[in-house]
Amino acid sequence: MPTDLELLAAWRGGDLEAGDSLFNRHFGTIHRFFRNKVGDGLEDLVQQTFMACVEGRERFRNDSSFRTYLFGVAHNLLRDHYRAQRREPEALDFGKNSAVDAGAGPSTIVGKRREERLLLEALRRIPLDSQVVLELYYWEEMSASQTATVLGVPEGTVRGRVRRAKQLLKQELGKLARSTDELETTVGNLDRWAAALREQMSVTG
Amino acid sequence: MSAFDTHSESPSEESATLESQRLLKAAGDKDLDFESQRLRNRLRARMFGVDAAPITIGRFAVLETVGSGGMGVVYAAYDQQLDRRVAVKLLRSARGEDASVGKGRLLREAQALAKLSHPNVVQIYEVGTFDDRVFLAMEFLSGDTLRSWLLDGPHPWPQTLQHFMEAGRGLAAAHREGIIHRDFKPANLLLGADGRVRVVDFGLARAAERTRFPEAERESGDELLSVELTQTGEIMGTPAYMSPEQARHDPVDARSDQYSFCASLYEALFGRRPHRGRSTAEVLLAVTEGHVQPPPRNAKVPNRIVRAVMRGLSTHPAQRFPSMDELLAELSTVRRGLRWRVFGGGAVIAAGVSALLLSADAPCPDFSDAIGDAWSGARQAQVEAAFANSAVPGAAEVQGRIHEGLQDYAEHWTATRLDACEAHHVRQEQSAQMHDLRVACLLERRAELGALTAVFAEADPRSIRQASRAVLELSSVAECDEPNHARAEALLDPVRRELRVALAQAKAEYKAGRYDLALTMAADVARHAREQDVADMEAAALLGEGFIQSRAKAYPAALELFEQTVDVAEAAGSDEVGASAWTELARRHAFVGNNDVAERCIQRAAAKLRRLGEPAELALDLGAARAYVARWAKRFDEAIELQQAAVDGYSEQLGPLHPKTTDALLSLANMLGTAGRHDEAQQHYTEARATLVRIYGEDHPHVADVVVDVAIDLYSAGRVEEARERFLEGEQLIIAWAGERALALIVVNNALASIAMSDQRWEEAKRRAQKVLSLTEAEDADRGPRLDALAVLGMLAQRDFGDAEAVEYYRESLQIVARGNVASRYMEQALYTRFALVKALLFLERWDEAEHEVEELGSALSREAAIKYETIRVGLLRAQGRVALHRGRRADAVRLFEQALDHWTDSSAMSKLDRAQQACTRWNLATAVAQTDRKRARALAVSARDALIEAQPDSGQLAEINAWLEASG
Repeated sequence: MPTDLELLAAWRGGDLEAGDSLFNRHFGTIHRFFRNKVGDGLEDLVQQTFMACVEGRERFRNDSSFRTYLFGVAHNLLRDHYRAQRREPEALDFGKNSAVDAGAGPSTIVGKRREERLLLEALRRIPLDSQVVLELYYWEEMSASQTATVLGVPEGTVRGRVRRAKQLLKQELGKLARSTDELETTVGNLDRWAAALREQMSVTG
Repeated sequence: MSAFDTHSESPSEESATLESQRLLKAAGDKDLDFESQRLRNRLRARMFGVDAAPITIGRFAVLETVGSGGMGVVYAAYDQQLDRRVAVKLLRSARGEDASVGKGRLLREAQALAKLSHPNVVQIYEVGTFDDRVFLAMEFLSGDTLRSWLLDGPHPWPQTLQHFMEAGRGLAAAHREGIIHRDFKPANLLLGADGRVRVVDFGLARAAERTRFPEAERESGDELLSVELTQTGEIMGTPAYMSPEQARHDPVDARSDQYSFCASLYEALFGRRPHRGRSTAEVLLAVTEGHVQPPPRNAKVPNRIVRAVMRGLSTHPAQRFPSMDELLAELSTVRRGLRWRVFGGGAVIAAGVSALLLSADAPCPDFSDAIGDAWSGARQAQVEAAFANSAVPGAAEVQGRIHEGLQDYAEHWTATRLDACEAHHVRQEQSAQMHDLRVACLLERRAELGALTAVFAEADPRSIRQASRAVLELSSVAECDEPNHARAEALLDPVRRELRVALAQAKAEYKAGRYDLALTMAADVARHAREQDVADMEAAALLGEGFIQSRAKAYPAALELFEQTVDVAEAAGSDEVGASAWTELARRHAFVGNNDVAERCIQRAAAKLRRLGEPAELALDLGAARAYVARWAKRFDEAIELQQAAVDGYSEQLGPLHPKTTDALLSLANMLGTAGRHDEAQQHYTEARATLVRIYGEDHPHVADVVVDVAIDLYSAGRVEEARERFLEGEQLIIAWAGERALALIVVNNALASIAMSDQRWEEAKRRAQKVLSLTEAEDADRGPRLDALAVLGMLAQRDFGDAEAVEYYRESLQIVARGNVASRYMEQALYTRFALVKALLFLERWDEAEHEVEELGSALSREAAIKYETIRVGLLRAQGRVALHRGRRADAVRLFEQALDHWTDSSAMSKLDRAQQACTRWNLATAVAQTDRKRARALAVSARDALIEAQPDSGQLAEINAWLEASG
């Protein structure tokens, strides 16, 4: 079986069949990377990521460094995508703003177990940098140095971010659980809620 | 531990972390779903020119995505087999559920949708699963939604109404199949290029049945999750059109759709929504509080339409129309009136047109499909197939009979349904309330019918056996013609109606012989009624539970339930339920010998009936109970007279073929037999048998039961040979229907064992008694007959000197009695059994055991009146004497034997058996005094020998006495 690097070389040489093979190999992970972060534009981002590889001139030592490169490209494209979506680019801080803040529409998460869906939802609500670092770490099983390469930050920063991201995720999960309770009291028990509202009105009125 | 404990923190922080890591990995699972595959293929085509095979869902090749929503994605697709364009909706998994369970349920409900075929409902061609998700292939429509059409308005109101009438008919058709839309709104109505309106997007995974006891569903978190995971925070349903009960997350039914229909129609007619509010929360508040804006005054819409729409928008479902059919009837009446005016210029034309319009748009539909699933063609086929496939020999004949009965019932129902509509809408004889009461009653009857035919569709042997009777016992449809107006509020209360429907279903299960299920269902109703503080329905449900336990012969449980019923009924002021419960309590107390209590229960029931104005059927029930009480108090003449009156009354009130009439007739025959009037009894049995053969057929188990009754009566009349023939006939009938293990064989074998004993056919007696033992091994079998069989086997064993074996039979017998729950006559029999046990143990010289049993027997007898059980008392003295003698307490032994001999004072009244026993006792005394008073011993021995030679020459004791006399001579 040809390596990633062989396929890439062939594709750069015009062999579309090799390109298709390489695309099929990595489509799943790249698709997943974007899917939990963007609503519209998913298809374009996936395509752009692969096209950037074939159009680029980078040379790689091994398959794992190709994969790291691929994620690096995806990560940059994602940031550009977010900036393009915001009217005021300077207000966007990837350390603070999450996928939800950035206006990603309803996720296309389907058919998972409830806990998993909650977790995916929580991931979407933590800052983008934290989301990416956790996903690379757990899903792609990347090392700290590979993750550092993708994100373009020092290795030490990555370790700190993983710790911080876990804390944030835990908080967000807690909030999600609470907000279900709140939903239940506002929607499921509208009578009580309405009564409370009336009480308030009689006090102020 | 409270339920909330499950929400507490995990004990170990570390394990929690591991769990979330596992989850994180699982959530990132790489498997591509259907959408992702489509995306990949699009990209491959675009980037590499790869023409991937078209992705198909089932046999449908996906062309393009048409739209997506909360439920899933809709694709335009091509049906390769039938060469047509279709729309395929690929559903998301059911929310908050285990995927496989949820899928199964979605699939079933999608199949229910697919069965629905109506011009105003989008036709579903096929349902199936793909990629672990459920899909529906449906007709592909070009056109627009009614919402867009309305936005293009304004349109003349008759045109708007026309479109909504069509949508309403589609909705009504769905309701008849038990399908509820849950999100009816103009955006879910398609206006096809053909001008026809079709309802789309029926809510899946929430079919009507599941709203029956919605608490369980809500507890499972199903509803909660549907809210939680709708990302935009939108509640299921659309607030502007949502019914108050839906907004409150209360159970919904067809009337919720009616509300949404009226909310949509309101908006369409008046150009504004019925509820004012600037935010979703404000609208929801207005909905739940019932703040419906009055329609604008300048609208041209006729008042009658406005009133109908406003009624449909009632906050309380019970105040809306009972069903969409009524609402549509009301709306179409108006249309007809309008056309009259429009075309009224020429009388001839008007007459012609109105006749046409009447046939097309009569206020009352023909209701031919209104019976729905309860007796649909599909259900009929299922029932037929289930009976045909049954191994029960008479099943086919029964099927023929019940089909006729059920068909009659369904036709009667449909005719009554139409009459209810016409009496109100056409003939205008009956008030809206009267109409609503009749319809509510009819819907309960339909639920009962549906539950019964559902049982038949599964046809187990017991329900086949009960089938004909169960059909005859279906609650009367005619009763619905005379609803009790005084109780209108309770009868129309939605909570009570729901509970009554559930109870009607429980009744059907119980009539069909599924006691366990019926009991669970009735208990559920009682519990829900209690939780919702509806005491009258709780009483009714408890009464139902009592009836079920009675028929299942669980008498102590039944008694307890009837006692609870009278209390709850009293508190609720439900005299009818109270009267029935007191009546049943009288029977139960009479059965266990509490005659005084039974009489008092009768008085209570009678008092309730007076207050109710002596309703006929309840009065007859009470009369029959009076007879029953008199019968158990052994006042036979009174019992027979009362029972004869009950038979005549039932026959007149319910007809000669009704199960209550035939039951009463059989009871009358039983009473006559018990009173020793066997000839009359036999006459009545013959009459009853002829009737039952007419109803059920020649070989039906109910007929077999009568044959056994006849045999029992002949046996007690001393006509043993005839009795035996009938028992054997009954045995054959039972085996033919229910096989060798039928429980009805217990009584027959017991009787035949007794007859064989008295005929000295020992082998047959033993075989039949052993058969009874094997039939009564089941835990829930009636213990009484087993006791009879054990007695027979014990006696037979002792006869063959198998005393050790006999001891085992007697011990089991006594253990059963000690556990209780047996008829009182067995308590008495237990004394004889222990006596027989003592004799067997003495014969075996197992002295310790014998001594123990002697003590037990002594203490048991000391609790009885001194004049009763003389034979046993004498026997006990002898046994005590023998034990004393063995233990060396000679003086005690002498005293005990002498005491025993005191019992035989009047020699003229003594039977041979008495003489033999007296002789044996003398011989006992002789052995006791042999060493102290030789002369007396010899005299006693000689007299014992002489008496025995005369009374029982084959006695084993005789040889023993002779040997002693020779040795001591």
